[in-house]
Amino acid sequence: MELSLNRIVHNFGSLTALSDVSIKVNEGEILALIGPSGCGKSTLLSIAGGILKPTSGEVVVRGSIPDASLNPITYVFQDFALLPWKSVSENVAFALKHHRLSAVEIERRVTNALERTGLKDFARAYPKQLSGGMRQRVGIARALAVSPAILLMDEPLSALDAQTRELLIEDILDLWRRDKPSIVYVTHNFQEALRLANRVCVLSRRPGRIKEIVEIEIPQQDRGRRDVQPRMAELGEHLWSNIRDEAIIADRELADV
Amino acid sequence: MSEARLDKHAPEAAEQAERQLPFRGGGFEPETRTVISVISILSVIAAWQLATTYGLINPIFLPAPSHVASALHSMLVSGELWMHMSASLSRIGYGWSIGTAAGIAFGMLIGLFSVFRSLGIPLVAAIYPVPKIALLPLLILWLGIGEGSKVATIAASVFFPTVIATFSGVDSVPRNLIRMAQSFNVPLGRIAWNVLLPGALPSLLAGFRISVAASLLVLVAAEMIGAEYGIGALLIAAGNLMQTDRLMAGVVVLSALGLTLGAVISYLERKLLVWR
Repeated sequence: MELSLNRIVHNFGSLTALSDVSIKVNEGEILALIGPSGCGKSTLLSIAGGILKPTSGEVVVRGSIPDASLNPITYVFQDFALLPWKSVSENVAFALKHHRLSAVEIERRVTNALERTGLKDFARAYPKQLSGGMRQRVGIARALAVSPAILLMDEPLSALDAQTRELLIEDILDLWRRDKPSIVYVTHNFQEALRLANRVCVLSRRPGRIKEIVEIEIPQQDRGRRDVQPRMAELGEHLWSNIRDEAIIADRELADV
Repeated sequence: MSEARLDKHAPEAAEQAERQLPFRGGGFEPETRTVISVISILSVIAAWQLATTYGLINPIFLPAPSHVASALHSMLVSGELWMHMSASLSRIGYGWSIGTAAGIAFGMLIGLFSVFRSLGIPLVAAIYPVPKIALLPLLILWLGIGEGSKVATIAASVFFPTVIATFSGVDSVPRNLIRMAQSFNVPLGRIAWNVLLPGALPSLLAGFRISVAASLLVLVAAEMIGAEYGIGALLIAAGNLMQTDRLMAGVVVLSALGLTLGAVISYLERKLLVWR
């Protein structure tokens, strides 16, 4: 399934957050959206996920939806968005209960999602008992349970510490290799983008525009290899130089009161 | 401390002397010490008993605790107390339940829909400050002097704080949780039941404390105005006959009732909000 964003414009009041952004998400790729804070990358993702109405422009889906997919376009939230009054397995089941599924099928999907994210032993725990990394694993398990064709991940690791982030990057790559969903991955961290993405889309700061799309030709599993390090470093420098100046300006900006 | 003081007198030694950094406080953390609480209540009762026994207080104005206890006992044995209690409990039971159910429903509508919010909030703001007992004469005209008007007045006194607790509880539910549910296409009914209501529960239970207190107040006032049975009726009758021991017994019963209802809410908070 392909997802296209066509000529998206979005205003918050008199402020233009996104101006004329068009981008296509190819089937099975990881597309990273990076840019300084306030560049509208999360806004763009919300629009792609159908939970924010753009001022103008359209979101188009092409291709067939896989039969098992209950929620073809599925969101993973930065702050995990877990229901604190539900246990881990209930949180995952919450995404399934309104579909016409048998109890057995719900149980099967929940168990499967928990197994794949290493949460099997935590099924009855409450979110407050879990570490940040485990909470985001629940968020990912909930997304996996509905068999998405496209995963929209909104800075999924930015609330986590560096070690946990490292572990979860590997987990995300594993699940991507298995099911090959398309992933749109919003981040302000170009290192994360370098580890995960097939293409990196750099957004400029307000009003958000596409500044550049960088293709990373090295397959994800080879990016740790020694002989590709010079190329990876080059790509990293290129991305950073692209964001740096904008990040400085964004950093010095006063927020609207 | 003593070393530090020494230093002042011998400034040249101060540079070499080791001093302990004084502890400056770890934030105020007041605790309840049960023993002190029990002792202080018991000593108030003891002082009261002694004051009446030795004639410092005229028992017509304030009977001794022992007389109050014996009045309570005789009313308990004769079944009179239960007659008053059951009348009051049924009024408060019906009134509180009706007011709470209606209040939660209306509060949810205000929390969910702009129409109800625009309509409801000014209305609630205008009527909430009115002491609901002021509506009793009107409600008596509408519903008669019987149970209906009393139950309705209690329900009205419960309705408004419940509406406010419900919609402010719904407002406090993180929007991201609702957006999450919407991103999975969860229908409105399930969002209300699984996201909004549990999210509003802490605020709702805090509201129950207020509405229980309000309902007790209105209950007693309404029963004083026109009732044959009920704690309020007992109080007014005892007052008219200068039976201050029976009057105080009624007050003790009200205190016990309030404490019990408060304990029930605390229990619910512990049981229902374990996830916090």
